[in-house]
Amino acid sequence: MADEIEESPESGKEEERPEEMDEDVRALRGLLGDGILGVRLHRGQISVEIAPSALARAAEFLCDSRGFRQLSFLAGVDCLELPGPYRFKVTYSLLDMERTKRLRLEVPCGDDLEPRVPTVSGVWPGASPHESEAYDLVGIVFEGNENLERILTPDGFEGHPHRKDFDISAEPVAFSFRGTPEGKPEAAG
Amino acid sequence: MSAEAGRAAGPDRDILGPIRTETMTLNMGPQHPSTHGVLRVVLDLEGETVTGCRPIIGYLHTGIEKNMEVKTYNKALPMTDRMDYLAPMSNNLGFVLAVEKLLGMEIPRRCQYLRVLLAEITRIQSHLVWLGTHALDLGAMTVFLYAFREREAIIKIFEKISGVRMMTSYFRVGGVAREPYPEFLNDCLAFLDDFPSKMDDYEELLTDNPIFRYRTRGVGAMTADQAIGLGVTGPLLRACGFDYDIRKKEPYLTYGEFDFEVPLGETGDIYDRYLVRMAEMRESRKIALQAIEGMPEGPLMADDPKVVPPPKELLAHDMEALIHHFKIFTEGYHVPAGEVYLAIESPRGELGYYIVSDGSPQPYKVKVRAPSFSNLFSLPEMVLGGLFGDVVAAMGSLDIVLGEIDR
Repeated sequence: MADEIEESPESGKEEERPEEMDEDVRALRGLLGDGILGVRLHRGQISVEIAPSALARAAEFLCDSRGFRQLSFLAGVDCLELPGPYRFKVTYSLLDMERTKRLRLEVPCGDDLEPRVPTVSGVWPGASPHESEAYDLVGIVFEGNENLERILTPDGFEGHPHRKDFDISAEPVAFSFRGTPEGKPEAAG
Repeated sequence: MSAEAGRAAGPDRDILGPIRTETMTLNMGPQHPSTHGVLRVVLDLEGETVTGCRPIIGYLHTGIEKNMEVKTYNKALPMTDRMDYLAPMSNNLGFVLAVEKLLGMEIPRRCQYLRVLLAEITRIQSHLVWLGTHALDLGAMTVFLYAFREREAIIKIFEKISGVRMMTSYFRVGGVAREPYPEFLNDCLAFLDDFPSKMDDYEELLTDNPIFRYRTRGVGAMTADQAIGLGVTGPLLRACGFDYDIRKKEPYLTYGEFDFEVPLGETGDIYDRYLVRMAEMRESRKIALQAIEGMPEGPLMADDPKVVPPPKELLAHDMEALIHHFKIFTEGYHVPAGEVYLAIESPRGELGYYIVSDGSPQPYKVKVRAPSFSNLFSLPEMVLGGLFGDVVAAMGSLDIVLGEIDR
C-alpha cells in the first residue's frame, strides 16, 4: 500500500512514475519511509500523502533542507462525499522560490469529528492564520498552535461551515421576536 | 517588558530615562478610513510606541467558497470578482485558468493575448487605487484625485467591454464572455499612450516630496527572509529585493513571450514598495502595448461545444447547438475528478485557486489563496516597535482588499 501510485487517467503523456521523476519525493521517501501513504500526479502537479505523525518531520525537512521556504496556503478539506477511506484532510501547498517548484502535501486526519494535526507554524510562521482559518471553517485542530481561534466567523458561532454536513438551511439569525432581554412575554408571531 | 519597549522607542526616551507609561489598548477600525474595508486592528501602545498589533478579520466574510460548492462552474465565476473588487479581471483569470487546467483545455492565442492585455490594464487600475488611497492616508490629496481620474478611463473600458464597471466577470471558462467591441484596442492605446505623462505627474508629486519621503523611508521595513516565511508575495516581497514574479517564473498565458522587467526594491520599506508599484505600472503598460501590437487573428473561444456556449445566432436553426446551450446553462459541464492548484500574479501577489472536483458540474471544494490574507498578517512584523502614526502608512503600503481576505 505504501508504494501505491495512483495515476489519474487524464494525465495522458505523464506516464512516468512521479516518484522516480521527482527528487524531492525520493528524498522525502528516504526520510519518512512508510510515513508516505501515496504519491499522486494530476495535471502535472504532484501531491504527496503523508501520515499526520510524519508531518512535523516532513515540514522541517522540506523547509530547511529542500528549500520549500514558503507555504502558499493550507486548506482543510471535508472528504465526506469523495471516495476514500478518510473524512478530513489538510492540504499544504509549498513553494520553493529558488527552484520555482511547487509541491503539495496531503495529510489525512482521522474519521472522528475532531480531527487533529500537528501545527507547522513553527516551521512557516505565516501558517498560523491559515491554520486558524481551517480550524474555523472545517474544524481541524492544529495541535501546538496557541493562536488557534475563530478567524472568519463571528464570536460565538457554532459549527464549522465548510463541513459538508453543515446545515445551511438553519442559520440562526441575530435578531428574534421571541422574548426580550427583560424576560417579557413573547411578542406575537 | 514595558520598560524595554519604552527605551527602544527613540532618542527622546534615552534623554528622559525609562519612563513607565500605561499600556493602552486601542481599537483601530473596523470603520476606520485607512483600513480600506472593514478591518480591525487591536494595537497595544506604550505612549507613541506600538508594542502589540493584532489584525482581526472576518467582518466581510460572506461564505463565497462555500457558496461556490452549490453552483456550477459558470455560476461560481461571478463570485470571484466580488472578492478582490479592485482587480476583477485578475480574479476571473485565476479561476478560469484553474478550471481550464482541470478540464485540460487549450485556449486560442488571440484569447490569451486579450486576457494578458486586460489583466495588465487591471493591474494598472488596481495600483492606481492603491496609489491614490495610500497618498491620501499620508496627507496628499491631489494624487488621489489624479489617480482616480485615470482609473475612471480604465473603468470605462471595462464597462464598454463587459457591460459592468467593476464586477466584470468577462473571462469565461474557454474564452471570454463576448467579442470585444470594435474600438476596444484603440481605446486601450489612447489610454496607454497618454499614461506615461500622467505617471510623471504622480511621481513629481510624491517621489521627491520631503513629507512623503519622511513618512515612508525606513518605515515598516521587513527583510526578504521574514517576508518569505510569512507567505508574503507580490510587490511587498519584491520591495525587499527578492525576485519572484509568477509571470516570469511560472509563465501562464503568453507572458513568456513578452519583454518586461520585474522591478525590485532594496530595503523593503514603504518607500521601496511605492517605487516598485510605480515601476510595475510602467511595465504593465509595456506588456499591454506588446499584447495590442502582437494581437493575433483567429478564433476567440476554445473549440469545445460541451463547455463553451454556441453563438446565439446558431440557436435558431441548429438543433445540436440548442442542446449544448441548454445543457451548459441548466446542468453545467462535468469537470473530470481531480484537484489542481493554479497561481497567478495578481496586483497584490500570488492569487491561487485550489479546486477539488468530484466529476460533477459543481466544484467540490474551492479554496482561494488570497494574496492579501498572507500579506495582512505581516503587519505586526512591520509596525512593532515603531511609532503609532506609522501604522497607517504601513497598512496603506500593504494594499490589502478585505473582500478577498474574508471571502
